[in-house]
Amino acid sequence: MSNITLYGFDFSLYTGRVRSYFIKAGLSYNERATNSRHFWKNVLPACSGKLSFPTIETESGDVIRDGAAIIDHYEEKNGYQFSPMAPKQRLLSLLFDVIGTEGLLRPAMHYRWGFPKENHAFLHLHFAAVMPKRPDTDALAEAQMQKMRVACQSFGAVPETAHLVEALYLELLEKLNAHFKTYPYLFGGKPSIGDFGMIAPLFAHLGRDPKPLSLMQQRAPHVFRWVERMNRPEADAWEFESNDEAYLDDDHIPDTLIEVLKQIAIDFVPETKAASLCVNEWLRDQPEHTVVPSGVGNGVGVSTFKVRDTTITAVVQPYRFFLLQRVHEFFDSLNAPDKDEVEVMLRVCNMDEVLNLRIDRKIGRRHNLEVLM
Amino acid sequence: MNKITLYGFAISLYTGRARSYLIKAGLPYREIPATSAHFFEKVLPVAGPRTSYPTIETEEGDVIRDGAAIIEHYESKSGRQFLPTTPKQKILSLLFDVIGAEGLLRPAMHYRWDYPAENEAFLKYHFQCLLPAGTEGGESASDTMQRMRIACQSFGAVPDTFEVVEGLYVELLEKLAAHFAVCPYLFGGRPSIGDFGMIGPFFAHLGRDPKPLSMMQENAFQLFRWVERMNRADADIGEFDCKDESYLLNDEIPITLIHLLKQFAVDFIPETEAASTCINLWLGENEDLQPETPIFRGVGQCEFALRGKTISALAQPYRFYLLKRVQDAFNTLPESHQDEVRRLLEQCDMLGVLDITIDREIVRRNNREVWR
Repeated sequence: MSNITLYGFDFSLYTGRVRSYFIKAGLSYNERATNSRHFWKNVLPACSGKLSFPTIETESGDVIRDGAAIIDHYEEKNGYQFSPMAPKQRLLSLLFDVIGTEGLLRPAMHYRWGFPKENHAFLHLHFAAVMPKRPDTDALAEAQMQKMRVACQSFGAVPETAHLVEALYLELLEKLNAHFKTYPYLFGGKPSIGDFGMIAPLFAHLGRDPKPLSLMQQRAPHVFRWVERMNRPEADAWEFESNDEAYLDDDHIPDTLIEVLKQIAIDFVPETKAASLCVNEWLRDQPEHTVVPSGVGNGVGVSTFKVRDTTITAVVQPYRFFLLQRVHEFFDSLNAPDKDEVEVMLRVCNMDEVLNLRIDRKIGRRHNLEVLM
Repeated sequence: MNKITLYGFAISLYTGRARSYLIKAGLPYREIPATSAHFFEKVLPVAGPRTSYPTIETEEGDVIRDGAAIIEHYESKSGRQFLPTTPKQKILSLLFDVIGAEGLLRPAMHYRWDYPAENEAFLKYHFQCLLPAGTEGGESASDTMQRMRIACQSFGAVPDTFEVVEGLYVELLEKLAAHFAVCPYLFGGRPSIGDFGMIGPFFAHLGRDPKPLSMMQENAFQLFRWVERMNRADADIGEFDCKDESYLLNDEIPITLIHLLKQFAVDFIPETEAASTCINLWLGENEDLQPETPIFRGVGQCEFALRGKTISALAQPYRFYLLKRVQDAFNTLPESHQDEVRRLLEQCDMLGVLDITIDREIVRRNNREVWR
C-alpha cells in the first residue's frame, strides 16, 4: 500500500494537527511541499482550486482538503479510535478541537510575529525554503512574511492588545502546565480529537518558534512535554505512574481541565458571541453552497468585544461555527440526564453559553470546500 | 506482536540515538523509565547487571543494554538497512557514529550544565520526574544534578576551556547548517548509522535543552530541521527538491561533509591520540586484568593541547570499541577501495582514525563491554 501524501509545512499551524494524528494513529505518510507539477495539475483541482494546508492524498489517491475532514476520514475508517465515548469527555474533546483550531490564534500570531529579534531569522528561512529558488528568493520571502504579519493582526493581536494577549496566554500556560503535570493527555492516557485540535497552535507556533518555545520550556515544562509527546508514535508518558493508555474512567473530568476551560472562556466566549451575530447577519443573503471564506485574514466581517477592559477587534470566520456545530450536534443527541450533566459541567467552566451560540444555517462540505447548506 | 520496551529518559543523550532508530525503522516501542519492579527483577539481572540508558526488551523479551548493541541487533535482523554499502560512505557512517557517541561530549555537557539561568528549571523538572521528592534513601534532584554537573567536567569543559569549547561548537554549527542546507541527512535522502550516532548529542542536549536549542534555532536552522527530521517516521524532506530517499549515488561525499569532518578533526584526533596513550599505559599497569572484566567508563584523564589551551578529558575505552568497527570495516575493503578511503580521510585530517588503537580488544559478553 502506498503512503498518504501530506501537503503541509513544518511551520504551518494546521499541518501540525494532522501530522500529529497520523503519527499517533500509526498511519504512514510522506510530508511534501507543493512544489511539484503533480500537485498543481492533479491535487489542487480536486480541492476546487483552494490552496490550503494541510491537504492530503490518501493511500488510494483521493484528495482531502482541510484538517478536520482529513481526521474525520480516518476516524470513520478506524472506528473513532480517538473520540472518547463518554458524554462529557466527548463533548469537551469536540470543544477543545474548536478552541485549538480557532480560539488560540491571537497568542499564536502574537508570539510568532511580535518578536522579530528572536523569530525573524528563523521564520525567514522557513518562508525562503518554500519559495521558488530564484535570485530574489529572499525578497519574495520577506514580502510574503510582511503580508502574513499584517494579515495576522486581523485576529486581534495588535500593539494595543499585546499586554492582554500575553497575560491571558501566560495564565493559560500555567493552567495547562498544572493539567499535564497530572495527566499525559487532556482526558488521561490517550490523545483525543481535542488534543489534536490543541496541538495546532501549541506546536508549529507556540511550541516551535524560538520566542514562545523558550517561554514554554522555562515556564511550562509539562506543556512542552505534551507537545513532544503529541509528536511521538508511542504514548511517551514515562513521567506518569500509570501505563494505562485509555481515557479516564467514569467520564471523569479532572479539576485541572475545568481550570483550563475557565481560562480559555475569558476570551473564547465573548469572541464567539460577537462572531455569531456577525455571521448570522452575513448568512441572511447568501445563496446555498456559498463557499465560506477561510484562511488568514479572510472573513465575513469583524467583531468587536471587550476582555478585561481591552477592546479587541477580530476577523470573523464562519469556520469556527462549522466546528462548533459538531459540539452542538453531539449535545443535541444526548439523552436528558446526560444533557444535564454536561450543562452543569460547562456552567462550572463558564462555557455553558457556547451551547446556545449557534448560527442560523448549517455549514457543510462540498467539493472539498466548506459551504453553506 | 509485542512492542519493544525502551528503558530511557527524555534528557538522556544515548536514549535519543536508539529512539530515533526505532522511529525511523518503524519499530513499535514504548518508552518507560527503569523504575518498575519488573525492571529490577527481570531486566537488570540480565543487563550487565547495570542500569544504563538505553536498555530494551525486544518483542521476544530479550534484554539488550547499550545503544550500539540495540541498533546492531535490529540492523543485523533487517539486512543493515541503515548502513551505506559503498566504501567511503560506509566508513564515514561508522566514523560519525563514534563522533556522535563520544566526540561531542564537551559541548553537550557544557551547554547543559554551564547555563543555569536558561537550563536549571528545565533540567530540574526532568530530574524531579525521575526522583520524586522523598524517595526512600534517594537523593534530591538538586543533589543528583550537582553530582552530574561535576562529573561532566571530566569531559574537559571547565571555565578555563569554555572559550575554546564554544568557539569550536559555533564553527561546527555553521558547518552542519551548511551541510543540511543541501542534504536532508549525512549521506543524502536517507539516515545512516552515522546520523543515529550524531543525533545522540544533538537531540537530548544540544537540540532540546533551552540554551543550546535557542542557539541552534538562531544560528543553524538547517541543523534544527535535521534534528526534527531524525525524530519523524517519514523522511520529512518536503523542503528539498529531490525527494529521493536513498544514499547519494556513486559513493559521493559532498564537500560540505568534508568541511564538517575537518572541523571535527580539530579536537577529535588529538583527543583520540591522547586517550589511546592513556589507556595503553593503564593497560600496561593492569596486565593481570582478568579476561571479561567489564571496562570502566574512564581509566584516567588524558591531556591534549587545543588552540592554546590544555584540555583534560576522561580517557574512555568505549571510544575505541566503536572506533574498532571503523577499522575492521576498513580492513575488509579491497585495496583499491582502501586507497580511496585513505585519500578521503587524509583530506578531512582524519587519517589517524585508521591507526589509533588500544592494546587490548573490547568485546561484548552478557550485555557488557568487557576486556577480551
